[in-house]
Amino acid sequence: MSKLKIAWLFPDTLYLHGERGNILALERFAKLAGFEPEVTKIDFKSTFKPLEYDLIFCPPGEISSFKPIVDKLLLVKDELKAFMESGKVLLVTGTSMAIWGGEILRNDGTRLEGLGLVKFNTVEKDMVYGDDIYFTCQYNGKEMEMLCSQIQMADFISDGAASFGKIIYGYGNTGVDKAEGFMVNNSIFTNCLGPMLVTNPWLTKEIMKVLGGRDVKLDFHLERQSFETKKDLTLSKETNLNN
Amino acid sequence: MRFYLALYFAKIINFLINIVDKSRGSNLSGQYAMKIDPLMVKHFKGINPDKVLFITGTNGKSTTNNLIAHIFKENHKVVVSNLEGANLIYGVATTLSKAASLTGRVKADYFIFETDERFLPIIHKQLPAKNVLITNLQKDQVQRNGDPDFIFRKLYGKLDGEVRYFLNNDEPRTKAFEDVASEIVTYGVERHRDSFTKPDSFPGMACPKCRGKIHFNYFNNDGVGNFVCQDCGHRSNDRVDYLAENIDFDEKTFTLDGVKFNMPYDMPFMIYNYAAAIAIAKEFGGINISDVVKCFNSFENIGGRYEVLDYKGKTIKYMRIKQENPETLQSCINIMAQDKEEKMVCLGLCPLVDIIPHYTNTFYAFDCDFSELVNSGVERYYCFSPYVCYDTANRLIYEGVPEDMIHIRDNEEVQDLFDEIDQVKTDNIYLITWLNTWDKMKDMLRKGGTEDE
Repeated sequence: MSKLKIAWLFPDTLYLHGERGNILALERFAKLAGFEPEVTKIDFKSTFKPLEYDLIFCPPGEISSFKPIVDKLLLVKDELKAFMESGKVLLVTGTSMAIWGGEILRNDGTRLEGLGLVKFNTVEKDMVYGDDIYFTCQYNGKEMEMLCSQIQMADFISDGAASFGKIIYGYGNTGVDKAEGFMVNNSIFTNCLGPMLVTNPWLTKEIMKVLGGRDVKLDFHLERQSFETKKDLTLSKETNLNN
Repeated sequence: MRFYLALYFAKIINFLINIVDKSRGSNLSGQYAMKIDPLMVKHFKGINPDKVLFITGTNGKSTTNNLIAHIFKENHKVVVSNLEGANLIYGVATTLSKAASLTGRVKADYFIFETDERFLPIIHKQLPAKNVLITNLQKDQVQRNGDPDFIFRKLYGKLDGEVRYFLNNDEPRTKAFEDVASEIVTYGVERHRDSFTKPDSFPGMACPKCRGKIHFNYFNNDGVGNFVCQDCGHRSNDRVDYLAENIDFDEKTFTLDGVKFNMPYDMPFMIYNYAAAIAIAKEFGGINISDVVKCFNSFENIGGRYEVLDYKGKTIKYMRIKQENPETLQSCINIMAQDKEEKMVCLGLCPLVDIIPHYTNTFYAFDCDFSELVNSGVERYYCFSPYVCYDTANRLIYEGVPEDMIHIRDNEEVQDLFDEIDQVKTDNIYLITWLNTWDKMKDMLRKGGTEDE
């Protein structure tokens, strides 16, 4: 059984929204796909060598935390770029997308630079927007529908980066169009919380295939029922969105 | 002139509401009156800021506010307080309009207000309290509050003038206010029987001072306990001004400064409320600690947080959580896990319907550790509530619960709930859901029982 090495970035600083669930899903699906998962927490004191990992997970955190994290990751920026270009999987959820893009404009007027590895910029919002998000996407050549929660603390404005998904309902990157998240090779940057790999296991299954695992044979009946009932609410509820 | 118009308008509304329904209208008159005078709160007369206390924080502010007001009244202090829980500026305006004379003068020894943590700076600009108690600042209502730092930044350093802070020594964000206080009084709780740790697989939290890693040596409640930042050294003080010690859950007692207190409400989070109340009584109210003792016995908490119902020889123990709030859910999980008797666990994590849009967040359940509960002897789990019951069930499956132990209903029908309770052998039933469903259950029994009776 081959190892699947997973780097969990700054879990004690990027600690929001129950995203530990994504690690549980990765471990569960990795085993079902024939891997022996090995999760390593990366923090400020770690020696981080991105290319030693098969998958890197960057969960959501508070924007106030991003400066020291960007500073730490800048030390391995070239390796992170090579990691993404190699077709390995970097999964970034929620507001932490900002770490990987260009300029971050805070709502107090201050600015900081992200890693600049994905072509978008971030504008922090004064108000929070929380809602469901329902979109289609294509991953590993497979079309799929995703349904998650979204807690939007910032707008993510593309400067040439391709979207991950197309919104059916929800705020997405800016609330003004259909763009949801970004995608670079097999790396995903998404607003999708849930934890998304638990509630949308069809994506988790494809991620395992991308990483060379065998096809996971589960019927996902519980997740399908969840998806359908939440879809009913999402498509019928009162909303102020008009994108 | 505007102020008097606003005041008289508020008093008329208060009078009319009092005739119609005394339990309503804790915000209403203030809301309308402040359209006439937006600075109404500032214009009341006779309020000494030294005698004003704001109580804020994520969890515990209503209970602590009620407890403190009770202690002060029992000790013959005249108190003006928003005990109905209306904690925005309109609630403060309503409370003051009720207490004021026709000249706008308010006579009281103390002014004690529960205040919403997001809006405290706005209220403070009109009523510059010299005393602020912060219970804790934690994950809560993410649809509005986003993340704890979003709230922290709204409060931290945003109050003008000299402010004495009463701070929870065991909660990192709250404790960080020591750097912007003119004076601090700390309170805390000693490690006790129900203190716990979490496996390393659970994330910690970011230090509010340096964004490094906060390590908890133990938790007394989720997110509250003896802590230290492994990067900058921000930590719980070793010496606490008001420390609840010798906590005895069997005897329902603790000691503080050598004085023994009964704690009729013996949930772990309640001990922090008790310690905070003692600190406020002594430092703010000049009340001797020994004079607080008797007040705990006569205090009746706000209804609906923990209640018990007898049903066909079974005991249904209802615990109310705040939606999207992992700390209150973890507290309930811990209480169930402490009970090693066979039990049924009914989990009604609900969709969020407070504001438009409604949505289906259950991700906070992944911040909670269910492992102790799962190993504590559960006969059956019942996951119910529209839209999110399957996600709730899946959370349990990720904790290792076999799917056939979980019954699922995509609704919150009270009859279905009773039917499920009928089916289990155990008479030990735990129920977590919102108050509305609990009230419906009580109503159904009061009106003649369930369908099969």
